[in-house]
Amino acid sequence: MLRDITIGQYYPSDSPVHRLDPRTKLVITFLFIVIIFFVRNYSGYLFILAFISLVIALSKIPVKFIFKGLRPLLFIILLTFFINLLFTPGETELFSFWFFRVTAEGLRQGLFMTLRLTFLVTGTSLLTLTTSPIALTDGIEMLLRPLKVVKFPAHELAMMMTIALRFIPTLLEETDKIMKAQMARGADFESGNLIQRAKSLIPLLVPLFISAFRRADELAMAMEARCYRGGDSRTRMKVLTMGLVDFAAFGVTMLLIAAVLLNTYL
Amino acid sequence: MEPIIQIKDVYYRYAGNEGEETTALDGVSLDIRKGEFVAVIGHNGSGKSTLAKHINGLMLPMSGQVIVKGMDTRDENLIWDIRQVAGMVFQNPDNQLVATIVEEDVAFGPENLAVPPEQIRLRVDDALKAVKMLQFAKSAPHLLSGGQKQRLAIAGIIAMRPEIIILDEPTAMLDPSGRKEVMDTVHYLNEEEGITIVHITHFMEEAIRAHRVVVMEEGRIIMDGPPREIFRQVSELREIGLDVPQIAELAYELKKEGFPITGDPLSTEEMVNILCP
Amino acid sequence: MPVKMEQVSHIYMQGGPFESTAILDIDLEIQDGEFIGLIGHTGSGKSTLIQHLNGLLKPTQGTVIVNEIRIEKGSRELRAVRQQVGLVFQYPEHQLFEETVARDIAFGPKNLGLPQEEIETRVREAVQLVGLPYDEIKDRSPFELSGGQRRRVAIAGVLAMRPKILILDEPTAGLDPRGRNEILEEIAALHRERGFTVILVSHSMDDVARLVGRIIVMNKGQIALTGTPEEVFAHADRLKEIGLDVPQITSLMMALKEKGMDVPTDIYTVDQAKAVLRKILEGRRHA
Repeated sequence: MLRDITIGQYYPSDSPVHRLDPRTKLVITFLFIVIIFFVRNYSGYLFILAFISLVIALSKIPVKFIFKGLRPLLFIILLTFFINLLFTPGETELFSFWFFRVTAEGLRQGLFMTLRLTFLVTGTSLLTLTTSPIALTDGIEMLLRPLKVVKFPAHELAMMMTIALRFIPTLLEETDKIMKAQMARGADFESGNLIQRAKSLIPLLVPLFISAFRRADELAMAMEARCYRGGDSRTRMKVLTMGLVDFAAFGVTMLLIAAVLLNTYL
Repeated sequence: MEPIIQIKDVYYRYAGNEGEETTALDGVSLDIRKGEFVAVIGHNGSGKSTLAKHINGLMLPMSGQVIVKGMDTRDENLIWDIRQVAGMVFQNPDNQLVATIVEEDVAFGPENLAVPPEQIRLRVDDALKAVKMLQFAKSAPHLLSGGQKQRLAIAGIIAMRPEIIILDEPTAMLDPSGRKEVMDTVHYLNEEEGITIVHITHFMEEAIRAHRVVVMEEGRIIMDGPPREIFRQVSELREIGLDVPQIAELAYELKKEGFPITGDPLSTEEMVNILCP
Repeated sequence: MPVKMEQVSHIYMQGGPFESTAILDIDLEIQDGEFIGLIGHTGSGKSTLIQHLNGLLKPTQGTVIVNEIRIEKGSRELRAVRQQVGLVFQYPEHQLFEETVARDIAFGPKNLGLPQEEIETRVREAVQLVGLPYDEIKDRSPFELSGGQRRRVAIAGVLAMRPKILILDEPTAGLDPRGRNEILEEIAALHRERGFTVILVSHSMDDVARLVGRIIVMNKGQIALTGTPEEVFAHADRLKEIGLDVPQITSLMMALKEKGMDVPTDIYTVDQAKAVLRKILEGRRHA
């Protein structure tokens, strides 16, 4: 079910990585994603691996937990590997069967892409593993705030994310309840072909939408009653502050960037 | 002293399903003094919820006026001041909580009022203490019980430092223990913090403990007085389909047969004192 | 069609870190035509118990037997049970989804694969059973009805399955006093006049006491007390210990008895109390 998805689910702990300002983590994650695409050879990945290992070690999150989170993506990672392996044009044929030709270039490309994807997913999941959703939304709001001059709705976006996070468990519970209520009236959500199954979802989806709209309506009224009038002139209880750790983190990231760029272009 | 809430001859109509107009408030006038605990009863569609939403300007009168602490709700410039003075708690505990962490939710109101961060922290802790929820400060709201969610909603209002709290059927979706938690909290705020309470409910046991009971029917106020005076009128209440507390009903029935039951008892203790002098 | 639960336990998320036992070793028998009140706190296991009776949940241990169909861990094809045991959830109006009342109520019978005429007969019958005017209401949208009417339409949706046993979870939640009394009266009529076996799940002792023939009190996943209302209220101390209310009249009688008055403590209605007190007060008058 939906509940079982754990990729990047927040892992509460008190580590230096957890304590970093969410803005720091967001920016570093962004830089990390960009720099991965600058890696051109295997030795470049050594720096990436060193960086990720350092972050994991500092974050005190069990490695097992991180890899458990990767499991749902295993299929995509394997698919990437095989597509690259089989469809990369190359000269040095290793072996062939049926109409497939496996070449050394394909093998190299497949491994390379697999590593890239694995590092990408691990790196970004570390962000959400070490940052609570609420800190993450705060960070996003603060980072995007300068974009207000071009009318970008930074506060609204963050508010929407918070409310979505708040109501996901409530709506999951509600889905379960309506599903059972319809099953008590003989509804069958499990058998039949694709079209029949899609049709059988109507008795579930219609009440769910109606309920979501009702909730939205009531929530809007409750927010108004609590003097909510948009993001302008609002204060926050928790003020984000950057400290020495944040500068240290940026320092390490700069080292990584320098190492990768030097490795690629020299 | 001037009443903190003055409702003067308010009318409100809205369009129904098939275009016909429904009169929700039909010339309602009501004064509520500071520190009062007023229970509003009446069945669905009697206009009590509409009345409640007029007090903090969520709805505006079509004619007549509502004045809260000297401020007219029709004055657009005052609307946020009015909502700070008169906080509101709604029926559905889930649909009024905004944040994913309890203390963040309590902070929502003060943040909207642009209170400085250090002060918000103090207010949040105070508010959570007042509803006895401090130990849940870091919890996720969806894991709380119904009664706890409603107490959290009340804390979110208290953190705005209001003088009035309007509760629109806050106990309708709760079980008996949740209902008791919420009512104890509301009485505490009224008695210890001097907050004026307007409590809308279907439960007569809750109305018994109020200073004053207002009965609404078809958009009008048809009775207004201390609980003892209201629940004495058993046949009138039954006629409009409202419940009467069992003790009041028993006293009424015995009195009707000529037994000397004096003092309009509402609680078990009062009845015991009358029967065993 | 008797119902039997033998040593039934249900454990949620067994083996996981959030494992919790909802009901434990429940033994229960329900005879045809009984009217049962099931009472307990939120989290006492009431909801889990009733979902076993129509196979929405299967026991982790033990067996539920409904009309000779055994429901056990791993049982499949329980739709026959769901037809025989109608379950009305809390706030059932939240499950309405069709454009008209008639089509919504027809959802259950349609799932049973019945012919069109049979479906129509059943829909009409179900609407009448919940006390709504069929011709006036059948083509209206359920969403433009009043709260109380919507709830009845939802109950009719379950009745149209023609169950033998009707289970209602807090059918009066959120209604005003008038709506509350009307729904309870209709449920009582279904039992009295149509012979349904009814299980009424409620927080409210007052409501349940004056309607049902047997009360089952649940606490911490087990049956704490069971018997006629009189028998159960005779254990008022145990009820208070669990944290449940006793009807106001019962606690009045208990208080009077404590003061030395000779009154029974197993009564719970205003009429009963009136009769008892009348006798005493008349005695005093003559003294």
